[in-house]
Amino acid sequence: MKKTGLFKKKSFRYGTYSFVITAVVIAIIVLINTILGLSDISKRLRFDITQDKMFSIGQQSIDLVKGLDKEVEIYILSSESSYSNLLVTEVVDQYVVHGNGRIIGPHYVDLDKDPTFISKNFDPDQVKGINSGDIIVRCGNNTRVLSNQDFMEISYDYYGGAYVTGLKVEQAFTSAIKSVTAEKINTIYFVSGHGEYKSDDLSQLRSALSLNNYALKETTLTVPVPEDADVLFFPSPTSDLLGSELENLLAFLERGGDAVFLFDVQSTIQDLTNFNEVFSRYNLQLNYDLVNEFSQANYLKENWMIRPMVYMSDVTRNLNPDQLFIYLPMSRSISVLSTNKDNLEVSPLFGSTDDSTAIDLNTGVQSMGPFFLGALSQMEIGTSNHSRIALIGNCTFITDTYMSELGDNGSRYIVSTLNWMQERADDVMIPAKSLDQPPLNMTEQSRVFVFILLIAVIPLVIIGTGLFVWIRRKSL
Amino acid sequence: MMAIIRRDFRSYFSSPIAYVLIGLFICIMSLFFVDSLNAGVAYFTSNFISSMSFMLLFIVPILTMRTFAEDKKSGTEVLLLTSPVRLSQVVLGKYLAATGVFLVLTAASLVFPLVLLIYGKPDGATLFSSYLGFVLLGMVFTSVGIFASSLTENQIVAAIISFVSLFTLTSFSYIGSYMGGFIGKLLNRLSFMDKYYEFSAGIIDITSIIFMLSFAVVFVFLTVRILERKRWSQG
Repeated sequence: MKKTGLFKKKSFRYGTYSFVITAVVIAIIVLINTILGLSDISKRLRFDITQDKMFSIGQQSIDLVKGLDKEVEIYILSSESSYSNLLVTEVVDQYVVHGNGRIIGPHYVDLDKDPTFISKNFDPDQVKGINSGDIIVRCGNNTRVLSNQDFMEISYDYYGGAYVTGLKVEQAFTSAIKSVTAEKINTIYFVSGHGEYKSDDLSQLRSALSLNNYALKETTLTVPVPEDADVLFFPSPTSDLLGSELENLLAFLERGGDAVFLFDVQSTIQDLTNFNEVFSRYNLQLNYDLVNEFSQANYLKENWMIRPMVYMSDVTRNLNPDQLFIYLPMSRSISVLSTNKDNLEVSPLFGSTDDSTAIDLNTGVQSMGPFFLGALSQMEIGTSNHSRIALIGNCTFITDTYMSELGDNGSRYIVSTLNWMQERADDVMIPAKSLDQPPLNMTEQSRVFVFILLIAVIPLVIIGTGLFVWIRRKSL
Repeated sequence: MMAIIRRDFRSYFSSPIAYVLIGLFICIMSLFFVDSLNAGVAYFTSNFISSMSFMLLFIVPILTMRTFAEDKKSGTEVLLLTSPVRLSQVVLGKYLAATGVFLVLTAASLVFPLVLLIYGKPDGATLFSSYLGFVLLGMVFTSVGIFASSLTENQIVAAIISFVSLFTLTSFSYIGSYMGGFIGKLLNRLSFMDKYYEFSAGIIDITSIIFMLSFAVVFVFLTVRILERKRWSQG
């Protein structure tokens, strides 16, 4: 009886009706938002309206992912709720949207909760030094690790202080995707055994090379050059090749191998006959001298800190030498030999002006410029093969110490040189997105005026109007 | 409904409260705008953007606390509840009036982008999306404030409920990243602040717009239900 009475009560019936209708309305709204929140839909309903398209990817990257025939997975080593790099998540979403289902992710993996995830799923050699917050791009067994450093373009002020000038998130991801999906990755072997710079001295360059899809390995020339070597890299040898090393090097070059030779000025006389034997085959010669520049526009503070003229070539065509200037500290000159060889094509890379001089460190004889400071040479081997070398009379400009002070443009020239050697003309050349903000053109006087206007005048006028209205109404 | 909007909107501006809120908002935001002036850059610093939303935590409860309590005080509540106008129209009218005041405040704050436009060339699209995010956030906050006002007859209590609710809502992202797991993910999805920061960065997300508007709709709807209940319980 009591129960029946309760159901008959108006307030109960109203309460039930109210509860049901509230639940239905909320359920409908939740449903609509859930459907719209599905990642496939929501990613397509986001629009980057920034002037520089900071959160978008360019046509080059879109074409790359559209043409993929393999699946690429992206893992972010962080919990989703604590990962806050909007730029990365937005850019990854763009790859997913354009990837026709070939780009999968991002998968968030919290290493604190799943500490064995890396060891269980990845080749430890490919993910060395991985940290929480890093990103893994994987295709089959190929893996690339990206860290926050890979997303930033860093410049250095006069005192060596580092600051971020641009963002290269797209460049990093496109390179990584290209790298893990590539059928063949070009391998560069850094040669040691002749007093060359150590890996630690060239970490910035090595990072740039890795970002551009080169596998980096080490070797000596006491053994034959490994079969998988595409390029040998000589970061300033200070002693000559042994006879057997010369043979191994020549064997490598004769089978179509490429090589980059960078030589700093030597403080003591060293006989580099065997090196010059190699260079002479390519109509090049390394000189034992020090070049000084006297054209004011072409040196920085000291005459030996040369801002070289950059010759237009396949290496520099994609770069912008007017903006991408470099300084070569204490350089030696390169001579182009006049021996007539049909199968050779030599082109200059860097040079000094007519106002430069070179002092022969052996004899002390001074000669007048211009001089070549870097050159490229291509030797045709048979009808379908070739060997390319680059010889540069400076190596300091690509060391970490130097690039920390005067910028990392040198590494771009090296990357471009290697791309030319490997015929990677269509390689990733996505410019970093500048973080420069538009300036306010204000004098100190106008700054103070605007500040007083905003902080005092406008608020007082508004509040004063309110008080006036209020008092007037009260007195009515 | 237009009559309700007009009446409420005018009532805000017939007392000094709206003027004081707008004046104080401009004054305090100017302190944060100095960052842009000192840095000599024509864009809103992240400090300025987060401060704008932070200010809403205080402004909206004060703005909305009187929405229904004022009618009770002036004796017009019974008239409203028994008038032929539907309750949903009353609530919507009051909500739109409060939103109108918020939009006036937003319009007054356009002096900041105006300074950037006069002295520099800011990214207009990003400024636009920043303001779109700010307006949507204000609409959500106002709906919560109106709801809080319908729960109690005391203006101070309404303001406190509103402030605590908004503070909790704005902390979703922080709480979510602390909790992790499914709840963390859910709270992150519901985070208005994350959505607001996305707008400020120059990303226009249609799903975020719909989400924020539907959140406002839910709270306006809940306010209607609360007042309906009151009407029924009063016989």
